[in-house]
Amino acid sequence: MSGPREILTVRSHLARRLGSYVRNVSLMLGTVLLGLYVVVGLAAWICYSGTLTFMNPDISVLYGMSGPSPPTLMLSPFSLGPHMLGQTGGFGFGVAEGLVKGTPWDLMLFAGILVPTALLGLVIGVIAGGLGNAIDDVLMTVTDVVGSIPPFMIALVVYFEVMPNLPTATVTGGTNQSFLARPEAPLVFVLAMVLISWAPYARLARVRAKDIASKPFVEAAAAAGASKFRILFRHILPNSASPMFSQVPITLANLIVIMTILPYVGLLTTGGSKLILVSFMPSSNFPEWTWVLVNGMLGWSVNLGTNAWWGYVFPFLWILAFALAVLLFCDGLEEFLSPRSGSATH
Amino acid sequence: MEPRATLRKLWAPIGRTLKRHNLILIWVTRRAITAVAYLLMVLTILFFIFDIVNPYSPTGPATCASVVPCASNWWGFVSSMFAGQWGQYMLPSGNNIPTITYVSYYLPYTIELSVLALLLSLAIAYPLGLLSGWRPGRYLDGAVRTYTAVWLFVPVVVICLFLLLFLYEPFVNYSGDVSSVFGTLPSAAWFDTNLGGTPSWIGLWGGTSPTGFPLIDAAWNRAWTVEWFILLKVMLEAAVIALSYVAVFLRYARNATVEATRAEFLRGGRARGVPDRSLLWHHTGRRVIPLYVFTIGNTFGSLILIQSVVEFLFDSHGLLYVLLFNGGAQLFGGASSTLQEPLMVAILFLIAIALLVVNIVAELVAMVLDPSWLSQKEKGRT
Repeated sequence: MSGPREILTVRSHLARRLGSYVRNVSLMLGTVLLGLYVVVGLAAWICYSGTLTFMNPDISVLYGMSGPSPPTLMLSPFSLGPHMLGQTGGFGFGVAEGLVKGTPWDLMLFAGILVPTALLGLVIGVIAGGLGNAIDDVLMTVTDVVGSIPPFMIALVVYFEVMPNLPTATVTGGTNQSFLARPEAPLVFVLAMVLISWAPYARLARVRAKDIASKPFVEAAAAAGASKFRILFRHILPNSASPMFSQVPITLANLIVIMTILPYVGLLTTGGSKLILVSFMPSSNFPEWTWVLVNGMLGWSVNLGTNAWWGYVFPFLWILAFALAVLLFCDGLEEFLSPRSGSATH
Repeated sequence: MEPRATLRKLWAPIGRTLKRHNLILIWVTRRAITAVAYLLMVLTILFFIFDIVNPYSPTGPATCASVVPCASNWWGFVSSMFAGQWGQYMLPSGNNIPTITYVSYYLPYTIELSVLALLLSLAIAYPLGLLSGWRPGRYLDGAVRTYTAVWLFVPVVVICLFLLLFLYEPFVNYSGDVSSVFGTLPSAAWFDTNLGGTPSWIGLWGGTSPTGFPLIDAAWNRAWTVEWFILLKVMLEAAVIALSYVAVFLRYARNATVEATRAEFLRGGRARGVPDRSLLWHHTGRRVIPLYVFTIGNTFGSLILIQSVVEFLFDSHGLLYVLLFNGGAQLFGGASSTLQEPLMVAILFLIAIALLVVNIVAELVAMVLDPSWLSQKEKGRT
């Protein structure tokens, strides 16, 4: 059946969906904010990429471990150039430089963890909930086992035990610096996090999939001769996706805590003597938001006081705004996609 | 007979029993399988990382046998971990001490702190969750949701460092010694000036007797000044943990409360003229307890993460501090640092056990409080 009538229905349906998207305040706000981050990330990737140059490469001086008294290498903010938002404590680099150059890396890092985690959990949960019986039991037992291992534990073990053993390579930076780096480090971190964090997603997806599987339209599809595979992935999976978004902010929150504490521990205990180990990036010269924050906070622990507030306030606000954008986006999308709101793709 | 048929025949009575809606039996079976699989998986990961990726016996199997839970084979490692033979930990002085003894000095404080933090969190989260779930969309609910959303992403590191920054002076003034800002007990210098030396109930590495829990031991020995000092620090740390943990907790618990307020019997109660206050605090308040207890089990991993950050930054006398500190020391490399690995393995194993126990206890309590909880869980309501 085709003709003007159907086209009209499709268009009005799209218009309705678009309308409910725009009217969804948190979704709109989240989309705009995240869009801004993506724009900054793309711009930085194209015309402002590169590694960080340290003003204070030997950080052990800061702790009085070697050399005389700690120097205060913090420029005040609101000047022009890479030090536009001031300079961090610790290694000493421009806050603005670190945040902007770090944006593409962080977007990739967070997306690289959150998206595959949610997808993996969704697929496993849908298979368990959709097929039921023995497969459900086995998959949920596996989920319970994996879900009981806190991601923090794995991150800690990876950071302290695996990262130091990764192969090193000499990397040449933007301004003709060359330094040792571990190119696989972010990949290993991302992989470890994805493999350990999918369990809550699988639980949520399974509950929804079980619910969806008993719906009349699924039975109708089965009666019409759709294969099991098609029912699972064409009918149940898209309708089970919305609860995933409620878990994403919690995973992100845990990630932020992990990514701020472990480099901090690495820096405090080694005094930065193992420069390439203290970040989840290939080396500490690679810009990354939480790394900027950790450096900004180092002003306190070496008693430079809170005077250098720009070192932590700007990175903190930058990270918080991103996290809130993700939260708003996810909460809005959950509401937008949930079958209750009438968007269920049957 | 073919093996498959034999298996089916053996399984048949078990399957029949299970099918008789015996949810408890299903729960126990699944719990037992999961628990064993979980512990084995944790140990396998630890074995893989500590023995294959980063082997802890650079000098060969002889050292391995004497110093660490012998790690040359998987089964040897697993069985010695279960048997409590956790190897030796090398002290800064160069002497070795059994890891399990070393751990026992630090474990009580961590338990004390997490219990206090959990109690404090519940004292905040229970009324807040109830009030916010009772009238969704109102001001209080909005405030709670905003707090949850923002505080979820405030790294605990930032809060701890801010607090330490502002409390540094008062603590130094109180104790009269810079080093006592950190640790749980006042420093040796403080004891020297105020009590004329460290009292006898404080032993090696700050381990207290008779129980090992600093709060209890100080009261037991009637050292009230010390007790006050310890209480101050513990409550400060517990408050920081609670502020962050409540955000995680309420993100789960609020929705459960909203669900609970839609129960039929509440409508019935309201129709019969039961006052709203009674419906909220008495009826709904009782109804959400199992859900809250279950949520504790669900979010206990987050609590441990937050607590380890707090313990590390406050330099507490706890196991999670030891874990992070030794992990950091690991980064120094060198021969001596390899001897810290048994300690890390032991602490990670203990964390795994703690998570398992808390989860099982939470589910059991939830089941006892609400007999229909298990069937609801099977249906995926929680």
